[in-house]
Amino acid sequence: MFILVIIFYAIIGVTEIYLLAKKKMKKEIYVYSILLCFSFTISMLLSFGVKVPSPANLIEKVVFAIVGEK
Amino acid sequence: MRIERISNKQGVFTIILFVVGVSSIFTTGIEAGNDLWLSVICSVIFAIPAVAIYARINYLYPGKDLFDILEICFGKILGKIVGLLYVWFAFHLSSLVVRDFGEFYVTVAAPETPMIVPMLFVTLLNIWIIKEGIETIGKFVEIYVPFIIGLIIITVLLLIPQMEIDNLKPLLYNGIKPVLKGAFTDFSFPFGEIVIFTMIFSSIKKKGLSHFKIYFSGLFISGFIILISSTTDLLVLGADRVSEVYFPSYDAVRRLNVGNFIQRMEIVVSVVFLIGGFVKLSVCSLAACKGLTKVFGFKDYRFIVTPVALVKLNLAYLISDSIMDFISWSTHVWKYYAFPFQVVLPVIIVIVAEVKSRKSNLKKT
Repeated sequence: MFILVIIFYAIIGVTEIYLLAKKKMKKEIYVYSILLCFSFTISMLLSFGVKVPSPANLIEKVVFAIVGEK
Repeated sequence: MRIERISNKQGVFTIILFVVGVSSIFTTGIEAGNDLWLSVICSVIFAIPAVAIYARINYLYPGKDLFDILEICFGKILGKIVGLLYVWFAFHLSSLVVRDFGEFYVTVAAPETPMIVPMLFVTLLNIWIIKEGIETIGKFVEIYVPFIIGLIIITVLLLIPQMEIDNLKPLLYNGIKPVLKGAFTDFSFPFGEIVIFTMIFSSIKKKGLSHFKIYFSGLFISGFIILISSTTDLLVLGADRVSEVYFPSYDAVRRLNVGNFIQRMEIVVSVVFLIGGFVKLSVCSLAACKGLTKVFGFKDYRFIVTPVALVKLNLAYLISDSIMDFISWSTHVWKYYAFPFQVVLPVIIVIVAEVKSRKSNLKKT
């Protein structure tokens, strides 16, 4: 499974960063690679079966702390 | 830079598909029980002032997005923080729609398929349409809206033999309170989400009062369609059954049977959801990408589309463990969580915007 994830991200990353580098957009490349690395990390963790904490639970706790209802 | 303009008609149609799409499979506001139709009408009435506020925000600063307006109104730092909050809202909403796609496909059609497969393909299509820009969304919508409305009307007409008027009785048996609760849920799920359009409607061709026209005709037409479709669900299935199943419309259309010949028409609901949900997904992701690039000070949003869509896919995958978890979260938590974005912040923004625009008008004269 994780091999598929690596291949998928490699294809996307190489093609799109190549297009950006052609236009010489340096700032864009930084933002792009940071976001792509973030996404890649989460995808790898999910493909190894690690349970990533969901933001939904946090939102639920905050909401019910304010509204005070369950 | 390509020109990004959509006409008024395309704007109205986008709002209609945005609202109708996902609500066509989930019937919200079922707390009201037999009085579901009353709570839909109430929620449209609640939505009128909210939508007037959104239209006013766009009207005061023509040709500008919500994110530009935030920076004008609140200054650089506070404006960017509120802008990031709205980016998160649009992003989260789009990932919920991706999850809807996965859950619907896996629950209804292909239970053995891993949920990531439908979500992955929808996300890839989504990347494509956003890179093409808002004009493509407008054309897409212009083709499909008459088709979708026709499909909904035909199914409702064919379902008339299965309807039982007793499902609507007794009227207001539990008093007005559950109706208002249902109206609040209905307001927060399809109608209040129109706030997303303040982030992308800088691209309307005509300026001036046309914003009010677009928002209100979109709201009323889509409200009418939702009223028809949820009342049909209620009439065919009854209040208990509607609150039991995950996808009531699908279950209702399954009962359609005309002379043992026209039957098994569930695919109609799937088509409506597929197209409408895709439009909702595109609009939300477009808003998120535009906002993110504006907050960080880039000119074009296209380069950021792919990584944002991939993060969205991951978020959609991990956001809840099962369909039960997902549905209970969206019914119990979403309405309170969305309220500040849909009502509180727009009210503050519109007050500040009124004051600021009046001041700048005084300086000019």
